[in-house]
Amino acid sequence: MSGSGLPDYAELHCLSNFSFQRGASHPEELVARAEALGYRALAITDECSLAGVVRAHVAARDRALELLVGSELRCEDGLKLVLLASDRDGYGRLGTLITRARRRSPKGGYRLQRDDLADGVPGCLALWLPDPHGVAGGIPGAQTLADGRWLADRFAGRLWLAVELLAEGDDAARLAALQALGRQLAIPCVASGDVHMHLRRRRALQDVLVAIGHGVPVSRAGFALFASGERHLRRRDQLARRYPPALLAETVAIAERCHFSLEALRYEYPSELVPPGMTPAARLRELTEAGAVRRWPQGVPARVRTLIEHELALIAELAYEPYFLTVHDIVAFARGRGILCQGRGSAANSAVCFCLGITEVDPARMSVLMERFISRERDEPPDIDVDFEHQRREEVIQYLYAKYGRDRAALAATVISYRPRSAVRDVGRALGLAGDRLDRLASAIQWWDGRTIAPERLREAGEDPDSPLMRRLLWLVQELQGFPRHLSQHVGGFVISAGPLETLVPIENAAMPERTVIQWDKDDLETLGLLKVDVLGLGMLTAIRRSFDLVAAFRGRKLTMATVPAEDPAVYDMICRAETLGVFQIESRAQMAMLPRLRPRCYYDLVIEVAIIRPGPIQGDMVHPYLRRRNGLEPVSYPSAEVESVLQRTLGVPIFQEQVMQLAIVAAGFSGGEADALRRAMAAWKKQGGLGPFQQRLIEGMRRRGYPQAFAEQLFQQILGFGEYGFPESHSASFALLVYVSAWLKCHEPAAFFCALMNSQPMGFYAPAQLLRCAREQHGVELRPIDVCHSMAECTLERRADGEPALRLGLSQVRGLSAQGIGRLVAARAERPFAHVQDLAGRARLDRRDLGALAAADALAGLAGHRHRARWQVAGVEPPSALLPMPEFREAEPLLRAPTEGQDIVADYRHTGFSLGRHPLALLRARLAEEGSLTAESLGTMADGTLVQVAGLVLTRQRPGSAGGVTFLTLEDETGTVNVVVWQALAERQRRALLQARLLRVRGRLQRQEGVTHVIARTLDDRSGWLGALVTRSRDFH
Amino acid sequence: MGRAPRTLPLFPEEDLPPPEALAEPGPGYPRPVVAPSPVAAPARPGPLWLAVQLPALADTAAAAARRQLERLAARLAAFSPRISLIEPDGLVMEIGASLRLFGGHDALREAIEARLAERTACLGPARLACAPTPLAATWLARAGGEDVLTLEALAGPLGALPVSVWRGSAASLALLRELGIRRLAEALRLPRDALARRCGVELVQALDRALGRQPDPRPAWIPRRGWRGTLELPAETERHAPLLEALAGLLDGLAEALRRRDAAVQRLRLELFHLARPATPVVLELLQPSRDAGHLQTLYARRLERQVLPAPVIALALSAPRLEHDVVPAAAGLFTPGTGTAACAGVPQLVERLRARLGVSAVHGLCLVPEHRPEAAWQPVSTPGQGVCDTPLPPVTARRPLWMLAEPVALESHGGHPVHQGRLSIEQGPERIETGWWDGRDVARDYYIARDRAGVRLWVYRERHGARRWWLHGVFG
Repeated sequence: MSGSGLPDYAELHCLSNFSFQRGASHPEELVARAEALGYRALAITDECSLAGVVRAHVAARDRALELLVGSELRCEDGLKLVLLASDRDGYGRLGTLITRARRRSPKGGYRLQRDDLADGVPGCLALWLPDPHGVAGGIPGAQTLADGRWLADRFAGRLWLAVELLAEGDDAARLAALQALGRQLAIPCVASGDVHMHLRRRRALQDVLVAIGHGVPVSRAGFALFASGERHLRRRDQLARRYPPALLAETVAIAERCHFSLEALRYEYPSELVPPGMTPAARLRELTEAGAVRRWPQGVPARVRTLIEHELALIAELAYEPYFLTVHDIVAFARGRGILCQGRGSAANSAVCFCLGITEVDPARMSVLMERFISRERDEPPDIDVDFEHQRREEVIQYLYAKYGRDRAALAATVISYRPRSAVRDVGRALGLAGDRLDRLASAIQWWDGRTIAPERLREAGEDPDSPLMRRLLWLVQELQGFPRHLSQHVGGFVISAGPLETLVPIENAAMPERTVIQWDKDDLETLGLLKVDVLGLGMLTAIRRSFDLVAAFRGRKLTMATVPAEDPAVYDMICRAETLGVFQIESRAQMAMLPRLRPRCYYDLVIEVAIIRPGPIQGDMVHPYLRRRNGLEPVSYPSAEVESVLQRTLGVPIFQEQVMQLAIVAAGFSGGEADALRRAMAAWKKQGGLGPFQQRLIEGMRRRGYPQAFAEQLFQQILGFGEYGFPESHSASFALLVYVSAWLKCHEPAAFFCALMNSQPMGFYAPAQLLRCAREQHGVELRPIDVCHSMAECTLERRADGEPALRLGLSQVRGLSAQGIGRLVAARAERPFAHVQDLAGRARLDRRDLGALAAADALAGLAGHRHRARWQVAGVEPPSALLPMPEFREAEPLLRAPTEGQDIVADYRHTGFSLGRHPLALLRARLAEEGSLTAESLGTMADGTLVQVAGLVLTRQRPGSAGGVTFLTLEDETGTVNVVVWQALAERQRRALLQARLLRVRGRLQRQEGVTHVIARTLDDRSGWLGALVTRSRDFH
Repeated sequence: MGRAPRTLPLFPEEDLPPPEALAEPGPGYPRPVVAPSPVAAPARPGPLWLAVQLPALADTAAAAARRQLERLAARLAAFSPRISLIEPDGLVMEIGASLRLFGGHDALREAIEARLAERTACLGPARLACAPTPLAATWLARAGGEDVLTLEALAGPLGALPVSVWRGSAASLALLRELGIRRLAEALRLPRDALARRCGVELVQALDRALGRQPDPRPAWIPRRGWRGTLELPAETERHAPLLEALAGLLDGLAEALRRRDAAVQRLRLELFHLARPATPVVLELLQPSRDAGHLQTLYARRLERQVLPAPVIALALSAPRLEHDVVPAAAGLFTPGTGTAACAGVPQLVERLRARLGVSAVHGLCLVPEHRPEAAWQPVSTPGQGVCDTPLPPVTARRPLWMLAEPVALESHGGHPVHQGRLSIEQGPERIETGWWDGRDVARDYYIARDRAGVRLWVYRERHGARRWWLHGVFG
């Protein structure tokens, strides 16, 4: 008994919301509530899962509550029990058991067989949960007795009979029956609660989750729902009234037998990367030295030599060699296959990584970066993300599986959580809404509306926000948001271990065949200090490698990331003109708007450019001070020499995540570990809060060191603004290299560059239509249409009479044309050219679908003439027969009208997504001019402040979280693009036009600032009707 | 000539080129099979079809649209002996033969429009057009074209119509669009065989039929009628036996008619006529359609037992306002009694007998609903026996009283104990029921089994919130 006079209690059977569609509380909520109730311990026992335990572990770490790790399991034959890990070995066996059951079933399910328990799962304690019907009436059924005996044999001394009294009618009789059963089988009884939620008032949400799981409305879920909300963490006085004291005391006795904590997990690196007889340190030095010779054939510069020694010493001290060796191995594999890749992250931009070939960012060239390698003080694990060509990343993943085996390598999970729209959908369905009504409701919720749902949204969807149904819906949606829905695979975070991974964390099947994920996400891994290697796909790497290949084939010039001429003024000139459509990162509208103001002239300017146009720096108000200082409009000053050392390279304005951490160390006296904790808190405070303690320590620390209060406050505000969006310099540095290389290619080899971009789609901000228009109009690239007589599968370069390249569009741009059809077509044409459509159809064995797609895309012009005639001929093709020769039909020439220009353009867009003809707005220009709309080009001549009217296709809609509810639109007409700013009030008023128009007319005021032109919208008019059937799609971004 | 149609425009999304003079039809088209009259000869007019299109019906469920069309056909039957339904949204009627009767084309059209106007409130506006072939009339009506009265005048106006008036397969229409063919004239200009090879033979045939080059036989609409029989009694009577005997004769006649039409009845109306008094109606409604005279006779016999007759009956009339088709009456003699189905078949008959005696609303069935709230755990059903089998049992077999009160009765309480004719002693519980939030009738109760002084076991509950009052909800048997 504790001091309160209430019996001690440990809850041993408790599900969190990681038992999807069952548990109705976050692990953190359960832990906090259990502590508040004075429980001695809490076991998180999600159904065949350990996905929630790390979060619970973090929550329990700072509390007077012991956390037990376990899982509720149900065999296929109905046997149900809870297993609790009593030690490290038991934990590993539990992980193995869960893995085995999960791997047998498609994603999300599991299949446990009784045989899996035959070894008694040593190291685990078992709570048996007999079927209530099996003990009803006081006489246990034969099956129940048999189950009990079977378990007692296998879990001798480690088995309890769980007594769960949940006010279900005759608890007294139930207790008596279970106690009798326990006596009969000599199994001790213990109290437990079958907890599904931390508070009783979650019962409505719990009902909703069950209904979602069953795919029926709550009103029809019937007995799938619980009769009451008893399955919550009950007060100890209630428990004392309901259970005999011995059953409660037994809970604590069981908890005391569990000695396992997640702290005990220790990660071990794979060992096969070190040749026998060698230490990891010696191997890393060997590889580094070999790389240094390759990088600096004339001898390693002294400064770099010092760095290498410094870094190797640090790596040795922290025993991180195997990590670097692992990353090196992956990169070496990719190199061997000709897959372009590049590392980034704090450890990536090191001399060692440069020598190992993990990155191309030359430390001699970026001297400024070298200070921020992993530091002993900051105690952070090395962090290297490796980007690979997105079209070939799968090869790398398969290599990892093959090398380490599926039992040692798996992807980290991503927890997919409820967002407003998905919550509205699922709650709505559970409340019996269906069909159009639900669609309307869900589509009224936009990603940018944030977590709360405004009543106006409901009214727009034709609902009354004050009706009981809608009030229930809103409340439940609010509660459900942030709940995990299912585990998905992380984009590329690989965990590789020395021994079987499943003893560390259970592995389950992903939705993709032949993919497995662990049950933890990357935050969980980081919490426990487990290392992962990020194997990511990056479209721009694909495009760059393809560009290099095209240039090599066309000109015989072999380029690599390292040999693209550095610091070319022509490239920077182009960037300063914001002609960056297609260039990595700086092609976004916000980036383009910044370029003429920032005017980057060197590589480090690009590093800043990449990092500064991010929500973090924008919200922290760092952009404008930086610009003013850069343009000499504001003096640069530092409150101290320490701060100067940190902020000098960004003119006194903190722009990178690392700078904030360094400031905390040098100015506020944080330790390295504290700074790292600050970084994590920064990433999470928007979601969870919790920056409060740091605020005090930061400001006090800076005051103590003599910094003015105002400076301290300002720094804290900047940290708040940074939030989760702060961008690390180490990533920016790697990205900036890709920016430069892609810009160089665009500037000097535009035909190859755009050709490569087309072949790497989908990627980037812009669709093929805009890329092609830019290629032709900005860079004078000759575009040649898709043509069955000339096109290959992909876009290719053809040599013009003057020896320069022209871009021939590829057959794969034709929508609806099969890859097999393309292959046969190209092969047949290689034998001899096609004589006519029937010849093409016969020799390439194209079916009607493929032929129709070719005709619709106007790719048959060379054989058949205009679209309508091509379609006619294609429709007349007879399917080839194996026995008879190709039938020949003599038909009269049909009288078919040629399509009009407008019809052709419409068909181009519909069947290829772009047109080489005139811009659709050119056809509408007379009508547009009549109503007073100007062209994008003519805006250039208008004065700041003029009232203007423009119309264009909506290319992009962006509503950055950092922009305070402002929507940015890009409109395109036949002369160029117009940037439109829509303030929130107007956006609310004209939401429909804003969100749905494909052709939009905008009236507003022209604003011109530092070479950037915007139209501040006053009214919007949806003119999509004018486009007729013209299909265009805008790309909407966050 | 015809007049301007009432509703235009019809194909706003199609920006059609101006209609051109129709070129000679493509090679291979047959000449018209209906030879045009040599001179404009009103003496012996050729066939003329009027099409009625009701665009609103296109969005209606097929069965409902069919009923609407049948009703419409019935209304228009006075104008034409030949009506064909063109589902889902139109019909055609031959009016050439009726022209003289109604005073010519204009007058007839006006009369039909007036007749239609009475019904447009629920059917939406109608579109009408006349043409010498049913298909041409339908197409003209769909596109809002003008009336065409002779075959030789048909080609021009028909050619100007958009091809979408032809309701071919989506693939064929898509192909026409991709060939740039937007008007029928453009399709007619193409080589006939080549077009048929690409677009399917349906389009070519439809064009032939529309232009009268091929016959276009259509199934005629046959009105559905109810059945009515009357019988005068040889002598007036108030006794049941002669009444039933007379009724049996009528029912035999009905059964015979039903067998002939392969139909059954669900609702029967018997009228008993008296001298100088209004007739007494006796309506019978069945659970399932039937054509079994014996069964009907039994039901009526029970009904008439209870029937108070205000005066002697002099004649009977039996009418079935609606005949049910598409049903296989249960007692059609196909199943021999004694098999499993016979037992089930007995339940509806029992219910019918009970209802015949007690009235329809007095008899209903109960079905269990999987619900934790006791008051929501059952519901009445009109067809007894329905829904019981597929209801799962509750997870824990909780005890429920056989007799539930319609509404819980509030109980006094003394010192927290419920009182009902004396203090109750709690025997078992609590069973906690907290659920039902979704329909606004959330409950939070603790149920107990209690025993009163007389030893009767009661089902009582205590509210978990508010005044925490006690209620009596049921009595165990």
